[in-house]
Amino acid sequence: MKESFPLIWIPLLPLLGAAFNLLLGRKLSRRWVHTVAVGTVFGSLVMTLFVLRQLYAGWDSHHHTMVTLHHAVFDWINAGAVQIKFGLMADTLTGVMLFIVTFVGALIHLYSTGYMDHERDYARFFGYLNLFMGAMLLLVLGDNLVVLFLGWEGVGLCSYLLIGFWYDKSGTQKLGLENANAGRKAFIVNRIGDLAFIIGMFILFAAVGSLDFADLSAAAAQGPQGPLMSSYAPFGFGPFSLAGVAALFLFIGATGKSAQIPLYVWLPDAMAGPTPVSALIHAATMVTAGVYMVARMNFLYMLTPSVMAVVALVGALTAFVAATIGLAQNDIKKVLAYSTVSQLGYMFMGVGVGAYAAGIFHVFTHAFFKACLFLGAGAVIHALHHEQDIRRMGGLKSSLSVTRLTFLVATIAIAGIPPLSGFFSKDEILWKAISTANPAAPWLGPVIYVLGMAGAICTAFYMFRLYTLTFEGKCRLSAEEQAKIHPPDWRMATPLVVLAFGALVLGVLGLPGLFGEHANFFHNWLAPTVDQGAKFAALAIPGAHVTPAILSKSHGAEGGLMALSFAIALLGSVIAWRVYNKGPSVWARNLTDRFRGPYNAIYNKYFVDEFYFLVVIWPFKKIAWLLWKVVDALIIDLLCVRGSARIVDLMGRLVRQFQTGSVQHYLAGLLVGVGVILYVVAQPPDDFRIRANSIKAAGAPLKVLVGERVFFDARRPVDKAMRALEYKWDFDGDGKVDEPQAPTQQKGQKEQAQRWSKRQMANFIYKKPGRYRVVMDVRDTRWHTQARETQVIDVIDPNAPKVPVSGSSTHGKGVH
Amino acid sequence: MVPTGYVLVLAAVLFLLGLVGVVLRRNVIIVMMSVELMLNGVNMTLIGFARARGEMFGQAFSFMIIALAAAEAAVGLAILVAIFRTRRTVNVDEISLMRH
Amino acid sequence: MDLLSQKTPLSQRRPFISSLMATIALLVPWLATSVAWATPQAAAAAKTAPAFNGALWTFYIFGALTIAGALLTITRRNPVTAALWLVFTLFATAGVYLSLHATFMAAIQVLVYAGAIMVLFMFVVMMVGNTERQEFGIMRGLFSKVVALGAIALLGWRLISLLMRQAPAKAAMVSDGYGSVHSMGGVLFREYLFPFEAISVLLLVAIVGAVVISRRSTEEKEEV
Repeated sequence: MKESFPLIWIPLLPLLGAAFNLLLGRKLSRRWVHTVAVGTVFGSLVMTLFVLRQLYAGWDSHHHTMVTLHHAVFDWINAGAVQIKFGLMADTLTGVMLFIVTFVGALIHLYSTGYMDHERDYARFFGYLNLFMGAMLLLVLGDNLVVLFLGWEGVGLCSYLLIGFWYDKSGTQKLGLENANAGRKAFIVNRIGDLAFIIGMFILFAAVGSLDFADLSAAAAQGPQGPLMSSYAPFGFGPFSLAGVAALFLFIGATGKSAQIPLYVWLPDAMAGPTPVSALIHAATMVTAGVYMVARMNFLYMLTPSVMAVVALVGALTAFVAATIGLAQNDIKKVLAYSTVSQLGYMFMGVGVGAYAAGIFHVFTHAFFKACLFLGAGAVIHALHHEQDIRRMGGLKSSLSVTRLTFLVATIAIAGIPPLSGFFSKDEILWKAISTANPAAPWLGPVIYVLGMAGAICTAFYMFRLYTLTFEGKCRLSAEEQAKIHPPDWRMATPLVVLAFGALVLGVLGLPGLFGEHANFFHNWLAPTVDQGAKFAALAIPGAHVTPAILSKSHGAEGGLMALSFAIALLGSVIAWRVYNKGPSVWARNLTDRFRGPYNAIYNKYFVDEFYFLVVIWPFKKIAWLLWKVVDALIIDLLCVRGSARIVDLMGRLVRQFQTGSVQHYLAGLLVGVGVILYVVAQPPDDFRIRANSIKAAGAPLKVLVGERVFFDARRPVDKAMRALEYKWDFDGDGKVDEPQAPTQQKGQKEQAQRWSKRQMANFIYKKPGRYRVVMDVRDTRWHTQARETQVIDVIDPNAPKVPVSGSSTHGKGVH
Repeated sequence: MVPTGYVLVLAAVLFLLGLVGVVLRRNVIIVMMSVELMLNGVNMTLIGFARARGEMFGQAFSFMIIALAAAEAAVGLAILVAIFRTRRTVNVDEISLMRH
Repeated sequence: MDLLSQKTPLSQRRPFISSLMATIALLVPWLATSVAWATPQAAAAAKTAPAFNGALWTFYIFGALTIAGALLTITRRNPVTAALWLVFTLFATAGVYLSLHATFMAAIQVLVYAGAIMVLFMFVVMMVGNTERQEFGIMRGLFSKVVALGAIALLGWRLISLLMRQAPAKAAMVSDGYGSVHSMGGVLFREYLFPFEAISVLLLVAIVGAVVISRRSTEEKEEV
């Protein structure tokens, strides 16, 4: 069922706010700026609630049907076969994302008014933040991949702008240049992913001829004969199905946006941005776009179990690797950043095993507890005047009680301790990971489960390490720094409390199957959207598609693994508590000393940045440097640009000499031109052809036979009014005129030379072999002009054994 | 009856003499006089052709050329006067404003 | 280099005497031939008695005078002399027109050209004055002038040699009123009325333009 709804206003409101703040904000007071910025986002939230009400009304939890809201805004691209409509759509999946984005976004906007209170570029910050909201909402609302990509690029741009927001920040911890570089890193790494994303879109468009989700899923529904299942073998590899290639490329795009291996490196650096930005963009919303995209394209991914295995494996690896890195970080935001990367890995693990509802549920809960954590960290940083090193904190629970309480709730949630939300979402993913059979990779389930569990214990450890080092124990700040600590005002505290409350209770939306078939509200809510892929896959690749394993029916196994998960989380938490309760302990130092190698590796993030620098960036820079020096500076600048300019300049210098300013000189030039034209026009045409029966091929000199009649032909169409041509021929080059012949022999040579013939043809018979020079004189009695043309001809005796050409056959010598 | 070729030759000579004057002379006034000579050469061809064809149109045309010559002379001499007033010279070699 | 170097300074010579005398002398044969030879009636008479072609002789005489006058015009140092020789040339041209039975055009040639336009020339010559050395520009820009003269020579040679051969020798018979004011008026005010009016507008514009260009600006007036 489709219904119409003016969805465009949801992204348009923040976009208008962005336009307002970016264009006018500098001139207006802060009150105007934050009223507009926060107001528009709350407006979007209200509209989202209306959308959710409508979706809820049309949703049937038992039959898994729903209504979708559509809004065809305008025809965007209309070029022949490429018909892209700017259409928006809201189904249950969109509804979840809309709620996350607008609700968390609104709270973070509110928080930002407190956090950024003393910021100079207040309007710019809120302009970018609103722009981000608009782009993110477009991303989740788009009813085709192009609109999604528009939002995708838009959020990437805002991410770049906001990471580098303090590009000129000086006097605090980092120099502005570092911030700007972090922004650029994010942008460039995202570009790499986006390129793959575009390629994926091209493949899909080539296969299906449309990028609308409806059309794509209809193509997926066509079974084994559908366009997406046609095989494809690029460069002799393969064969792959088109769906597989497209899904893989789209996933590479997602690894860029959602910070997965191998493109996760930008996210930790992105913490250079203001903390609300980290909370909103780099934890709660933007980075989950990849998960959303995979869930949205579930019908595509379900068609290719091998790509799903890749997705799940990449997710699990990222979850584990990032969690281990998180163990050794000392910057409060860095820990949270790696935590985000790790949690995103869990989400991909979820969608990679076909548990789209679980993945999105984790997106949902993660948005709450991670936003709460980041905002709490922001409150700490704000209170401590930009101190971010947790080794210097501690004992803040007394001075920052609200912050500490909310932070603790969120920490418990992310650590995976029931009954908080994080436990349910993460555990569902882990359960689905082990209870799903992927025919393309039967070993996948246990592998990713183990990785996930290892990541989970690390998560619990580093989160409690972070919490205890920050809030418990004694304060390691100097006394005067302690004196300056101030608790957050209401604008910052309210979002903390609301988000912590969400982290506390929202797990009930996704109770495990243990509690009954319909206990998991979230699954039923998303089922109409994300379960279609399984049906299509069963049709298209029967027997080879991802299905729940036998294990999934066993509530006992589910309960047991849930307990294991709880135990592991508790274990990690307790160890961390014990180790760091009194600040950085001797025990911890001993441990790091003993495992110096592994510690250094994780402390330095496995040297991935250095590796990338060596393998990618350094060669790239060298190539760029070479291109700059050779292609740009030498070829284009020096040769093409400056060279041509120099030539023009030289010509100008030359021609300038004629530019005397004297009319008489100009007239002289004009007359010379007239003279030249006149001379050229008046010259008689002076070429002739030699024809003979024996001449077969062209060439110089032409060869004719002795005793043969040779014709000399100067005929041409002549305008009788313009030309009066007369000819004189000397066939043997002896200087005597042969044609026209003298009427009588007595006439002197002088008189002979003055005779001319009007005939344009002549002929001659050579008696002796040899090389002759044929000279034709032509004159025009009308113009009083004369010209001479010479051609060389070889006369051959066909009976003689050899051509009697004496030694040198150059033009001058051997000629008669 | 005058052969048309003679008229044309005379006109050509007149035109060429005017051209020589334009090229050689340095006094702008004499240059303009030479231009008048050239115009007369052209006029003579028109009247010669009119005679050859026994029509009046060529004469009408040359009549208009005379009027045109009058206009040209008026404007040209006015420019000359203006130049002379500012630059105190009528020497074409010294009037090379177009260069700048 | 002064080709025609004169001993007496320019200001003390009376350059126009000779050309003036020549002009007056021209009037006599002009009157005579115009009446006697160059009328259509005379041409018709010449048909019957082909021994003497009056129009042709008129042409020869005035053609020679035209060339001589033109040569003198472009070679005089003094612009006043040159202008007077130009008047002479124009008179002679009028004589040539007569030989072509263009009586009205001959009259116009004398009235407008020799009368009005040359008066304008003389006026400007007098106004500008003989303030400076008027010499041939032989040395300055010698190269370009030699080249230009060469081009003119080529042009003239080709042109004249072509014309000598190519131009039709015969001319049409002309009626009695050919070249008269009456026939001219017929052509001008019937067939060519619009061009005629356009030309008159052009003349008006030229007059206005000449006045605008040559008058002093207000600032200059204030200075004076």
